[in-house]
Amino acid sequence: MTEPRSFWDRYARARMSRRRALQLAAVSGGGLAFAAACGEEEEEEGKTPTAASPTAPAEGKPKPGGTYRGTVSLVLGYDPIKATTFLTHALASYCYSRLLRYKTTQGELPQSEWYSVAPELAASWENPDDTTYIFTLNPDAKFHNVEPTMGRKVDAEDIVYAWNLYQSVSPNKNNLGSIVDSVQASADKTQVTFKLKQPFGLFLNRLASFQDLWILPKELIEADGDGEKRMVGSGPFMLDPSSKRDVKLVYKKNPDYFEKDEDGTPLPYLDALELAIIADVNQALTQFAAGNLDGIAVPPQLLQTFRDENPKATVNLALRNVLSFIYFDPRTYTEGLPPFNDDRVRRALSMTLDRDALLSVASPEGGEWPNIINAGMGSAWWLDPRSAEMGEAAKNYEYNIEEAKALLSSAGFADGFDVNMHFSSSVYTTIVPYYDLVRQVLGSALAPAGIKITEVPAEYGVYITTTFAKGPADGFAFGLESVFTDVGMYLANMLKPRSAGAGRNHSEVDDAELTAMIDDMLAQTDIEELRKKNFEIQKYVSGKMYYVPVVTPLEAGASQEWVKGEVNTSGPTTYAVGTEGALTLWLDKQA
Amino acid sequence: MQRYILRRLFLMVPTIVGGTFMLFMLIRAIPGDVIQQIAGENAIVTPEVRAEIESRLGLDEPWYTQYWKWLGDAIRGDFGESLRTGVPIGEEMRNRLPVTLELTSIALVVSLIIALPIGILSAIRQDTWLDYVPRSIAIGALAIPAFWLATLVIVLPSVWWKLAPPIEYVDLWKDPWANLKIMVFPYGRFVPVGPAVILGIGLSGTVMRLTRAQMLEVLRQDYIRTAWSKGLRERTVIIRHALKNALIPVVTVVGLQLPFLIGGAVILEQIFNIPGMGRYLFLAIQGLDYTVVQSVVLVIIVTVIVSNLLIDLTYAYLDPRIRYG
Repeated sequence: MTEPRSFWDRYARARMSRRRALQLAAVSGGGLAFAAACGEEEEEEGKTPTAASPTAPAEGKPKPGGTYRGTVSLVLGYDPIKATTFLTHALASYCYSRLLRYKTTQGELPQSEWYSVAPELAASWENPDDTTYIFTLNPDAKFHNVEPTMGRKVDAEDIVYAWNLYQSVSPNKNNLGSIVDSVQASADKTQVTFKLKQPFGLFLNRLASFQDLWILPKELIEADGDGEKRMVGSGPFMLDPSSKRDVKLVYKKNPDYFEKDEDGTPLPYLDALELAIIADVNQALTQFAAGNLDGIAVPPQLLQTFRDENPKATVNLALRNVLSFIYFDPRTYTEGLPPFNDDRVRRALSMTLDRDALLSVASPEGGEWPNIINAGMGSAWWLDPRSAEMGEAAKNYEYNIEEAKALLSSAGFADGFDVNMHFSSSVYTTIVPYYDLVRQVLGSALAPAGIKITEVPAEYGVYITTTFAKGPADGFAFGLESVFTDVGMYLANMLKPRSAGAGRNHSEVDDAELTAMIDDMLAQTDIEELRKKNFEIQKYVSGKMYYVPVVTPLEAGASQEWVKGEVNTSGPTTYAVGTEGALTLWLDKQA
Repeated sequence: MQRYILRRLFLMVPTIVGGTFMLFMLIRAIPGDVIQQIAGENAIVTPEVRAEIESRLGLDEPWYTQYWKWLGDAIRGDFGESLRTGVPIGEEMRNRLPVTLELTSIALVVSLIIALPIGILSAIRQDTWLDYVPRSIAIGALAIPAFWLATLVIVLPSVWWKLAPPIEYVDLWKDPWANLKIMVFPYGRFVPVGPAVILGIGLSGTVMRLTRAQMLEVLRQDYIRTAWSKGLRERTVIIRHALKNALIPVVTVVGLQLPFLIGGAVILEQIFNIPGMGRYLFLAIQGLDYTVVQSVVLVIIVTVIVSNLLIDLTYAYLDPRIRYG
């Protein structure tokens, strides 16, 4: 059997050279981007990166200055510690820092490196034993030079304070709280030590998560009670007081930011970044066409029209890390409620989905098939259902109506059955446009196998607090699982029993063998061994089809021709745009 | 008149209490789980967690206690905080209410500017092309949804001329001209296709048809015939004698269009990025922000009831028979 790491490296490279890299080269015209996409450089095995410098600019020498004008559809809050939504975390990433962040590069990062970590506040780290991590802070890191922090240095006590804050108020506190035993600052406040409760191989990835440990200064919380009124951190941008949550957010460059590019030029390059709050997609497209916005997201169904109307725009296509999937009434697993208690029915449901046809609807320019780990995690973590590595379980993803009917027949549903399908009728439609496109055709996609659905729409807020949080009241639901930044979050949250704290176990799956496999995987400190076990779990879950993954479309973003220095839009960039995305942006208005 | 005003004011109280009570109960009938919302999507809400949150929010008290407490706080201007953002709702509404009032007021003026002359002209030139064309336009204004018109207004100039409306809302007090451009002339050049105009067009259809119908009825009255027979000029007969009486029912109908205007504002504020009450309500509904939804609808209820009162008083002033009826 091929050794997974080398297989996936070769797979990622082959994929890049054949399709994605050409695609990228075509849209950006960037030979250097092509080189970056092919992954000329590879991180030395096992070596901890020690510098936070991004890769050299690929589009000429960056010109510092200028204001980038982007857009967001909704501002739900400013406090990243209290928030559960990625919308708030994305906004926070302009102003706040984490100890670590995810690696990015200009152009396209090889899939095998998606969600690998890079330094941020922590300039370096060591791991003397399986349960101890010592981080040395960047000595140049300072909080913003505004009230209430006035540019003071970030020290290890701040990390301890932020940890305690996170543990006391974050709805996501279990992500790290279940792993970390203690956090201590060194006497000279230059180092912070995390002691783990047990070995946890994904600890560094988890620490970089944008759902978790954002470093909010003590002064801010003491003054305001929380982080909702303003954003004051140590990130590359400072939220300007002129910002209005419903009109426009204005981020000014943090002149004291601690990172520099390879030439020693301070980052970020931009003087300011403005995000207009635009909920209507037509309004956003119009503003882009008129040159009033430098970058936008483009709904897949409008992509061709967009290209026709904006021939000079650069279109970036990305596999976004959001899992689209079908999940069942929890009684399926808790009470053995038919029909989905029978894995033959669940597998038949999966085989009835023609995923390529669904992708042609949701994402005309391509996409991938997810399994319980989404394709947006990258090839280092995601096992392609179409690959030989998936083994026997691969057939469960293949479109095969005859086999689906045979499975249904053997399960006692030769004539099919009627079932309710629950879904969100709002919010996703603007934030994740492909969701609604796929949802609209699911009924006709399932009909050939005799599965007749009745649609049960619910307003987003209702859907999230009932169907999503507690499982569908009957039948199944079509949903999106939000941004998990490591495979442990997906597997432990969605598949371990709810009694073990798995808040995203929508269908109350409780499989002792699977739980043991997940625990075993998470305890691995050898990352290669952990990956192998991760792939074994994906194969096991694909055989059981506890959830039925649907599609991972390519999502499109567009930039004006004068926007330079964009990093890969795949992988984590979409969610921590401030640090992972906007740091190296610059504007070349003569372009 | 004083007795009439007092009687109407007195009747307002049960109306407001009834409206707020219905609102209070209907909000609680909305599907969804506010406790889960507060605890977070990831949270497994145990009975203990649920009890703690309910106790913190006072949701463990009897419904009538909750209702009176909420109403009492609202009367004092304390609407609580947004469940989503934690921002005080009263503060948000103070910023947003003037924006929506401005939008709806301009829409009302626009609708009258369009509807009254055309309605009058249509009546005095009955069964001519000056009647048929405006009547067709009125039906069109009634039939075309504001959101569709708004989408066309945004998309077509972009496709044809690469033009876009202003990207950022500017406060009236900060820059009245820039604000007026957003509301009325988003593309400049005095082309009135802004959200206030679109909203006004929707309302103008109703007013135009009613004005025409009332004018036709009044023009057939004996006293108008007398005016003609006295040899008065057409303008004097129409403006001084007919229009005054024809407009009395129109005043009532215009006032009753307030809920329509607010409903339109919810959509148009979203499309044109106007940070008013409509958009606040829209986002709150999507986010299941019960406290905001409850507060905004309360303000709308009170606004509609007060505006109805003002209309009744105006009607009574214009037509004394009402007071003594």
